[in-house]
Amino acid sequence: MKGYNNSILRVNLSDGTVKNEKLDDDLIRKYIGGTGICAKILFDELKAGIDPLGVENKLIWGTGPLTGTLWMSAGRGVVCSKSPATGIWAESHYGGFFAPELKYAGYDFLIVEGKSEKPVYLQILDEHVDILDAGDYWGKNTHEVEGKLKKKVPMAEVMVIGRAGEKLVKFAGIITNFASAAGRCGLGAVMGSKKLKAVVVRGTKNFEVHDSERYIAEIKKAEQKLRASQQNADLHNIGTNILVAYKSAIGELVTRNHSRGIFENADKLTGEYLRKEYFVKHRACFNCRTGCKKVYRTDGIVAGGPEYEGTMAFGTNCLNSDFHSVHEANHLCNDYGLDSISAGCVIAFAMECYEHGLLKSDFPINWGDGAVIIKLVKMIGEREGIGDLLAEGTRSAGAQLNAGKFAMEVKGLEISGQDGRAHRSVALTHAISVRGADHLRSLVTVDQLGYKEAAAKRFGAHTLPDICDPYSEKYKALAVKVCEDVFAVRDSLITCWYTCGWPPVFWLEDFADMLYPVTGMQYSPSDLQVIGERIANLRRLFNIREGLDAGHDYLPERFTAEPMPDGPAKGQVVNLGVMLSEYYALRNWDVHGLPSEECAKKLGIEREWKQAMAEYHDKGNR
Amino acid sequence: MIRVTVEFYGAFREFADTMQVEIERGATVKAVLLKISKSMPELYRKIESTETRIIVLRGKNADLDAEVTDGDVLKIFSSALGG
Amino acid sequence: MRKRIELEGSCTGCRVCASVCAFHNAGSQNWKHGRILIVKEEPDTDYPVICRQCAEPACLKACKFGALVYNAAGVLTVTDACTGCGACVRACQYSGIHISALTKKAVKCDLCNGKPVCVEHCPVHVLAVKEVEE
Repeated sequence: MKGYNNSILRVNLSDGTVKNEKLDDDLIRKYIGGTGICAKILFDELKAGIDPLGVENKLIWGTGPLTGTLWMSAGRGVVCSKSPATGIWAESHYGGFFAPELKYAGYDFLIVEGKSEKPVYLQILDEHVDILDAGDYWGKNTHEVEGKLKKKVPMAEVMVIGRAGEKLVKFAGIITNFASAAGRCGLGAVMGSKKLKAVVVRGTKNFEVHDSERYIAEIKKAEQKLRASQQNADLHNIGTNILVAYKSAIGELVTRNHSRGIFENADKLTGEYLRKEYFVKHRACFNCRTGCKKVYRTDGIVAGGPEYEGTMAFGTNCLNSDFHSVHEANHLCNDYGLDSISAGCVIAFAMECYEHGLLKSDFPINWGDGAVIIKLVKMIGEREGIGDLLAEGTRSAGAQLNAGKFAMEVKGLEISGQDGRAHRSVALTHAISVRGADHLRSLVTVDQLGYKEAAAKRFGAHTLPDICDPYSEKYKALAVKVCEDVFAVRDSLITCWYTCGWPPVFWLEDFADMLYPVTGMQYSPSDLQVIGERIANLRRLFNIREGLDAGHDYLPERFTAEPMPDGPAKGQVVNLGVMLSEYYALRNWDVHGLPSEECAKKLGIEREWKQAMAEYHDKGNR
Repeated sequence: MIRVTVEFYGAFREFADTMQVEIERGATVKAVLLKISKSMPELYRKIESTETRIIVLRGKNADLDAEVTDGDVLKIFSSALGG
Repeated sequence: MRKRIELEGSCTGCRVCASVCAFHNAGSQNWKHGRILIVKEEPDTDYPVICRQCAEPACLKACKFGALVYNAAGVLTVTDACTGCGACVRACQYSGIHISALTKKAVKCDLCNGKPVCVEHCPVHVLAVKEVEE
């Protein structure tokens, strides 16, 4: 198939074998690439119940047909595995330049299996693949190691874990390009458990596209669409911190361990304020026409980030208005190889526990203390003192401290920077997302922003006006389901969330228009939606096989029973049940959140369904 | 007469951070914008021509015909990001 | 008047210039097959490296095979006579010419026959054709 290398690189760290396997056209037609193909491979190759930090777990680096092309945001890739934090499906997307490089080296997927006895790193220079001794790098953090590896191998790209991954911190991530991360789900710990320090790749090959003339015409069309978008211009100018002011205005700015929606000192953390006070320059990922990355300067640190989520995690969620400490904490997370969302949210959890006397500490852990945030990031990365407990994540720490009600997590993944009480659809998204409390797999944006035309186009005119009422449960299940399917396609092509989820520039028609000249595959937008549905269901089956069902599609009581205390959304709580039932019905799943046989048949995943159900029932479930 | 504060975000921030507007009781958002056009015509033109603009009044996305009340803070965004 | 591509403003390091160059001039998806190299250094340095179209090109002087000739527009270009020996690469102090991994021959910017695609596609419009007097 054009647009692909039609090749899977499989590396076994236990016996040192390296294999180049054919990527089947059938697999491509059914799952496209990225998360779709990774889901199929991991469903087939992993058994239920394995230890995510054990020798049987596998890591897959995935690319898609658009990766490495001239497409608007062709730089992103995905890493998939079974998560040590949640015990279920893990996928984490990352920006930078690594994924295109893997394609230029001649591979679509890289599977790493087994475990090495000694620290190693993987070096991929086209067809020359070597497992090399990482003795000089083990114990060092990501910035130092990436710098050294790039000196050693000019024009290479690197993905690397820091001390956090080596120490198996449950939310350790994999860092690339110094400030991009495959952050969530603890994939850095999976790498650490395999003693795999880094992957270095340099590719000097090419891959073909199906119709060059049509290809460049579609590229130019897409470029023009973006250039005409004010939203794209704003995202470039200000970056993702542009979210702070709007969320503050509507009362959905995650504050004080997800207890409130407004933060009094938010004006010190708005994108506009950061742009004025701390901005150094714009940066972009590979072939990106937006360039949303910002380099900021604070007290002696010049570094990329934080994104909105980092500003939320170390700022508003910890009642910390001091951007210097937010910037430093985020930078430290990149260096240590920690997920900034989970790290910040675990620290907010620690603050609330300390406030209620549930966490003993020989130093105060007060709200708003930037120095303590920085100290705790280091302690978590080193698993030192209470850092060792916090390194297990809020679900586990919550259980150990009898502080479960302060653990803002779903399925073991810390909730990101959204509050369902002020935005109903994201409440459902958090509850049902396949990797745990995650916003990216199905975040509906146009309902919150009131972009009625886009909402009508995506979900149907009949959904107005209720769909644009952030406090109404109506039609949110439909919107979440549609977005989940479309984003599964997005995550298989692979293209960036920006310009697709937001701003509403590209959607299925654009993907179909691009997929054809690159690959020759003629898929209509509705064909693509079915593929998205298939992928969403297969990932769900992966989780069901681990014993997951409706009982795990929950939200913390803070969202369902604790009314928003102040701000525009004051008094709001989430009625999850009604949205959940509707979502299951729309998906053709039963009341236990299990796909029906009819659903599986329609999507051509009957075999996988049978296996997942058998395993699920074997566990003594219904 | 009533007084409202207008705050500008996104691309509109290039023109002004914030502005105080005095206007008749019962006035709409549209009327406030027209008042702005008198003192800052370029800003008004930019707001008018930005299809993606969002106006937040008392914590909710507001249409042009929404009524403003004394002490309101009108927040005008050139666009907004979901996330 | 000699012309060359220059950076006028802040580069974001996106590599669109290098990618469109590779596609337009070599039909390749791999930006390394184009005529633009990108320098990226932490924490905040990004810029494209493009042939400076020197008045007295060191590469021209170094070439033993007559493979560097001025085209109709007066821009120095690499011809098929190139053997990939690398003498030009070693002579250039600007890294403006390099050996393509695709063709194994030297490649350098030739301004795309008048309408440089890098200038056209740069997302932040910081590349421009400049006339130089040297």
